[in-house]
Amino acid sequence: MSSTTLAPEGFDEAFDALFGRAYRVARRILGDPTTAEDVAAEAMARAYAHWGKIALQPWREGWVVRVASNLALDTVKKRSWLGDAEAMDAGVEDDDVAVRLALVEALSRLPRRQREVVVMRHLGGLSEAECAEALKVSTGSVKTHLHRGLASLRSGLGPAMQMEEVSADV
Amino acid sequence: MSDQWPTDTPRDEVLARVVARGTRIRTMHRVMRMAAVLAVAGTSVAGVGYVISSVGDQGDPAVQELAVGPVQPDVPLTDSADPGGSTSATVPGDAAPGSTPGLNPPAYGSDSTPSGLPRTSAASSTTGRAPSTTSRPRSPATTPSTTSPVTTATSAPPTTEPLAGNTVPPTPAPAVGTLRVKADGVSVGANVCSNETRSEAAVSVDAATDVKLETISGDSSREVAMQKSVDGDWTADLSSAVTDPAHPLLVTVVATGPGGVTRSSAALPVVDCTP
Repeated sequence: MSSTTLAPEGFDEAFDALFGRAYRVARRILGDPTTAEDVAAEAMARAYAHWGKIALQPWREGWVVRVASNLALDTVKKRSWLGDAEAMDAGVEDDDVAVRLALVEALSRLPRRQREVVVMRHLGGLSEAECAEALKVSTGSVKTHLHRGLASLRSGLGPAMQMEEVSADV
Repeated sequence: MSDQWPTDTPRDEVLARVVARGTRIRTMHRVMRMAAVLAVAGTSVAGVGYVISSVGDQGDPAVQELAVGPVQPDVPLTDSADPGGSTSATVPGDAAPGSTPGLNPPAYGSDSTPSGLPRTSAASSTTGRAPSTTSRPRSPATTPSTTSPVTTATSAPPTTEPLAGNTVPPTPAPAVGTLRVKADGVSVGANVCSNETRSEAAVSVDAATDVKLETISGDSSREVAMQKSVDGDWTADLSSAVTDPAHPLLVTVVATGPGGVTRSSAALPVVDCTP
């Protein structure tokens, strides 16, 4: 395919893995596979635009996950503001929609670093070391932010609501 | 890897979409970067241009000082003229070649070298007086033969050099001539008759719109407006000006015109004109 030949060096080879990561985190946040695909494609397009800088970096997966999660969170916010319930309902149950909206709301209230760590670790599926590389912080810092972020989410969402519940259906 | 592909959309189709979108993002970034560079460069050029234009408007301070410096002391330092009134004493020989005296070019034109650079002799800048030998390299053909360069230099200072930077020749200040005193229509020279009741002062004033006469006799002073007579002189009644015959009558002619105000004072002896 011509578009494949236009891709910068290494992008084609890394595309599948990176797109899969981006898609999964977007799907977990959005619940909608179509929108998640669009969000993942947008995240990959941004990776393509910055490929010269991130291609050889060990944190490139974390970078893509972070971009995808931010795009997904923004999409949820836009839809909730616009009242686009129909799009939010696509392919998911009402309860899941409510849970996701509550999760996004709780995530948005977290400090930026805690939100990034929680999303990358639990929704993006990155290891603590990968999160540390992506965020350019130490692993201990990632653990601290993760612990505080989860504690805040539990207090905000209630003790019965666990992160595993949100991502279980993906 | 196709078996791990997570979406229903074919991989190559998604990749093509990503490449197209990524190329647009990259192009947008380049355009924005270029616009930022151009904006910075444009701002810099505009700033430099503004600075240059500002300096250009002020002129070269060194050149102005050298051009103006020699001219100022050439203003006649008489008590009869205030600034601006000196240019009325135009010396024909000082006109630049090919120009009329009233339309002299700025000092740059007459005090510049053929290359256009102003003459900046150390003597002229340190003494503050224009070197007459270098400031008048006039062509003999354009200098009126009736005007002697030596006479011009001694009797009338070279006041025709316009100030540097002035593009419009300054309006000449009123020029006050010699005050004359008449008694019963007969000139008595510069004396005032102590017992004359019909004496008047007359003076010729050029470029004046209003002339006043201030007199001081002893402890009393007065001011009267002078009238322009048919013969062109400005006259004022002096009949009651002398209140103290023991002292000279101090007379000041104040001439006001478009070019400024000129004051000319004189002390007139008071004499007994009784036959």
